[in-house]
Amino acid sequence: MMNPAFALGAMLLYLLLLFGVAHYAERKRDLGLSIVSNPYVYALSFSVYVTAWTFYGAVGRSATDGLGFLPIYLGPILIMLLSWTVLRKMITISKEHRLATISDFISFRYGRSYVIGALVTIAMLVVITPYIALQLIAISESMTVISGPFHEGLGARRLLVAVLLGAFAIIFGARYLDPLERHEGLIAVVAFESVVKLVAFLAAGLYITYGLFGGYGEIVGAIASSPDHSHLLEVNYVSWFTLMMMSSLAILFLPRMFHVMVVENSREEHLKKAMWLFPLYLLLINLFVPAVAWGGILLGAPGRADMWMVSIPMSQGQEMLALLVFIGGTSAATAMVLVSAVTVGTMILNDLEMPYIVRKIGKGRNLPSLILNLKRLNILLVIALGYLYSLLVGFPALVDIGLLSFLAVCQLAPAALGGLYWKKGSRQGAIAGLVAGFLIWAYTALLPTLADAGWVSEGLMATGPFGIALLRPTALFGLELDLWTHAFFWSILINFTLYVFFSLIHEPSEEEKTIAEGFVDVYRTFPRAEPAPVIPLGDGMVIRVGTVDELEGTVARYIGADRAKSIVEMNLADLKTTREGIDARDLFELRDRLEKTLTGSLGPSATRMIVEEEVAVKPAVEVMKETRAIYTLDPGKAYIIPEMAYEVFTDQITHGIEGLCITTSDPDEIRSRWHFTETPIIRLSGEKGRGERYIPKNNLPLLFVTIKSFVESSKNSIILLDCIEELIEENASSVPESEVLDFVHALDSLSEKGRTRLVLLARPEFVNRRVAAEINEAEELIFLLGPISAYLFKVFADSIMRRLDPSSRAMVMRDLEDMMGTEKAFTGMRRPSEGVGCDPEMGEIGPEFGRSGLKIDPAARLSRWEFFAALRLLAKAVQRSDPTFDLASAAKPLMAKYSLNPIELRLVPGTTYVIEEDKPAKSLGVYSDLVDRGVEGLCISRYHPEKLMERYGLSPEGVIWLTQASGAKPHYRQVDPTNFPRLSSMISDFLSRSEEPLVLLEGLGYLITQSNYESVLRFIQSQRDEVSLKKGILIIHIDPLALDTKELHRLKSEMEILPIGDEKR
Amino acid sequence: MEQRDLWILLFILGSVLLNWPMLSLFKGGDGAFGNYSTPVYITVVWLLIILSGYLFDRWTSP
Repeated sequence: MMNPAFALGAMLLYLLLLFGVAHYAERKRDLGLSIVSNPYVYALSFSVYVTAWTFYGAVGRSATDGLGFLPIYLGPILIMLLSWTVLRKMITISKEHRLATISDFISFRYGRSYVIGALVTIAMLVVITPYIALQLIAISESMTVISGPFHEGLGARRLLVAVLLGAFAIIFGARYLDPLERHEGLIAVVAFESVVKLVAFLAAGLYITYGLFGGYGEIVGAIASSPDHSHLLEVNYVSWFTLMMMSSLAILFLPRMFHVMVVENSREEHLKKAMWLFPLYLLLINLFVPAVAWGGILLGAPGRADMWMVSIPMSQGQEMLALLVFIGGTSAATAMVLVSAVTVGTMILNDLEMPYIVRKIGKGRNLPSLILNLKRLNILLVIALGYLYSLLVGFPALVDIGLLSFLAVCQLAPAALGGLYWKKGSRQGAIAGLVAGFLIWAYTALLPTLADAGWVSEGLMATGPFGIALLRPTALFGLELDLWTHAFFWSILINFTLYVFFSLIHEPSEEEKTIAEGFVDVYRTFPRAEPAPVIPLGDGMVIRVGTVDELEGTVARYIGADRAKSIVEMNLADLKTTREGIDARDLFELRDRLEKTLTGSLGPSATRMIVEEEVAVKPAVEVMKETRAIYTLDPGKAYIIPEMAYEVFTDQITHGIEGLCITTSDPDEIRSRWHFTETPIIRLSGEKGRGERYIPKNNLPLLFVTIKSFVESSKNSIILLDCIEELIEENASSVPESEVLDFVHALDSLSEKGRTRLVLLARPEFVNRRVAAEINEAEELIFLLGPISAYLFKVFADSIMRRLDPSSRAMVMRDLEDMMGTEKAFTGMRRPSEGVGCDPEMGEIGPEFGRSGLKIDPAARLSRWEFFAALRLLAKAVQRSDPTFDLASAAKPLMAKYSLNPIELRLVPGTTYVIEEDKPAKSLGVYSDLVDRGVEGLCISRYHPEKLMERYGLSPEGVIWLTQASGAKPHYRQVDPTNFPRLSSMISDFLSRSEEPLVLLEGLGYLITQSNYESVLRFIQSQRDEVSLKKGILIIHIDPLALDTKELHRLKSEMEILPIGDEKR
Repeated sequence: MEQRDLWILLFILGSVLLNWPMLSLFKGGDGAFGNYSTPVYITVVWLLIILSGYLFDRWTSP
């Protein structure tokens, strides 16, 4: 036996060495020279999977089950094959949303559900406590083997180890509230320990295999020839398969594995190394397991088989080797305890405590300090529970704990994997599956394990509860299988079934749907808005204050003022903006980022509560009227209502819809006149008032953030803005035009996302198209409201002009001034001499250009097509000085920013275009996209109107069906394909009554078949002229294979070719 | 075939190779490797999995 003080001293020295390693790693990180952020350390950290249970227990299991220990490692290596798809997806999502634990991951997916987060956390705490106890017992048992049972009567050595590990976990896992939850010191230790345990295992394995025996051959030969032990070379295929499945799922969802694989990943590329290094590590560490186990049998090694790794070298007098193995086993145990304590401690904080803190703890408390101390207490709690548990039970009762915890973790798989790949997976489904899965796990796996330990009556196992044999925990409904296969089968079957069933019968909420799309389609590339060109504020512009500070204040309440400030500054720098100069779009982006920061620090459930708390105007429902609503307004649409906006709004809010009224009038007057009491009102005014929200008219970002928060916290809402004209006109002189433009565009996008109905009260004179006195559906507000389209032109023009050198710019400006006087496209913008046009500084065109760029008159108006025509004219002017200038590429970022279809840059009014393609899919796609944007369209098609409605969302009112069939529904417009006069008349009517008409003709082949080529050609020639006269746009789809070359050529000579890609929204 | 499909195929192939009935074909005793057959077979599949990961890393890493 070794001197106990020596063994204990060696262990303490080793733990001190670990402190040194962690400290070194953190110091390097602080210097910007991270030793952890590399693929090899990342791959080595995966070995936290190899705990004392596997380090010692694999030998024990191999001594009784032969090769039966292997599936525990084969499952993970198979999952490594899927890691580039499954694990990488989990990493991408977790980074995107700052999800720090597996409970955060699952609860976030299902609408930031507090119930799911709490459920997963409690289950993991229940599972992890005995698992940590197992690690502590393994350390003390192995120390007993090498140095005798010194001071272990009261668990003193375990207590010492637990205290040291608790201190270690707090120092390196909870020094401060890190939104990223990454701990370089901890990971450096885990990687270091992985090398130590591998070296120890290989050293012991080599010694036993080649030192005590003549090699693997001798050991296997002796076992195979022994009738008592030859079964060790056989495999029980059923339990083999079960254990492989269990370990495959467990490695993905064990809290500690989620932490090292997902949270601690600094670059996705690092996963590629782990894909082969981790399987290689597992191969090496298992290489000598059968040799040690079976060698122990042949040697008649003393004590429990689980301890043969230590006891065989000890019995052979190899004390130093035994000490090395003991240190290796301690490494396996401590790595698991450290990472699990930090992870489960964070889960307890985020999913059990934080929601309570957010709701109950007053604003006066020092929350950052409270939260940090709670996290530290949680870590100590997890380790303390493990320690206490280890005093209650002995090692024999714990050998199945590893598999028990694996099976419990498998219960997370349906909700987690379903959430990753199935959009319909709902919160109710996840809760039902998880609850049922954990209950069946407790009944079929935990209960029999406790019965083995003598804690539960054996009678219950033998006869079932109340003597009902069909309910026996180990043979439910008479199914006789081994314990783990039986428990796995029933728990996963029922968990999965309930998850799918309840998901199918419960529609996910809007919030869940949005998150589900983000999870399932995480790699889908959406067109990202390019940053807007920077337009510095001119003299006299009002600089907004307060909004960034308000956001920072909210974050500071939870993570501390200094960290909040540094995070806000870092994000502002990343967004290339400042506190004072931030525009609306960047403010929204900053808000989203700070929300993610809070999610990383406090968990998704608490963050959701904070966001809801911070909503300045909370949704409320008025007393419902018993009559039915008079008006039907669809969510996701904007409406312009010149005269009866308040009637419509009041009608909606008294029929279950949550309203928000934004006005410049006195809120009390509005309430008394329209008889609503609960609905919040925002008054646009610089004054302060009690009971209502006051926002200055020129603080458009704050106004939008407030509206957005309201919409996000409501399930069914309507917004009434009764002063859009006043808001736009008054801001024209106080804030940059681009900010007003961004506000209107953002408002439009918000309503488009289907979350709200937007009602704008505006005079018909302020709207750039004919509107009725009642309800007018409005698409693309930037082209409809007053001078906004002129602002849009200014933004484009300024962006293009900034590319030019001063002399070219001067030339273009002169051309532009000339064009403003002569070109029809500029009729909405007066000439500079009349007070509108270029900045006075333009007279001395020079580097000063751009302080405010083009000057726009508040009365300036551009219709949609005038806007694009003006852009084309501007491009021509630029091309005179720069022939290489390409409008499409120069305008691309802004086209994306304002969600405009690039094809409109090519569509010139009065022109007939041809699109060549086999089927008219792209032609109809482009047409429907333009109509969606508010272009007035007429579609003449061979397709049935219902099919066009279903596939392209085209309203049957705008469709003429080419058919000879009779009996179509009366509200469908149809025309005989041979009746060209009727068709011409319908097109002519449409062109006459529309302001900017677009006609799509599809079904040319059918027209030719039903009459003849010459008649169709004459018809097209006449329509071409009509379109040219009435300044419409005609698009004709042609299938080039349906015509011979000559016919095609004659037809194409009448039109311009319109090449298209996937130019849709 | 897309990369994702290839990995799913390899996962399924690996699962088949490391389970019944494939394992039963390499039962110890009469095989080429005698009593070693099962452990050797498992080790070879294990090495192939490592190799596939290694080649992917080598071919796709910058």
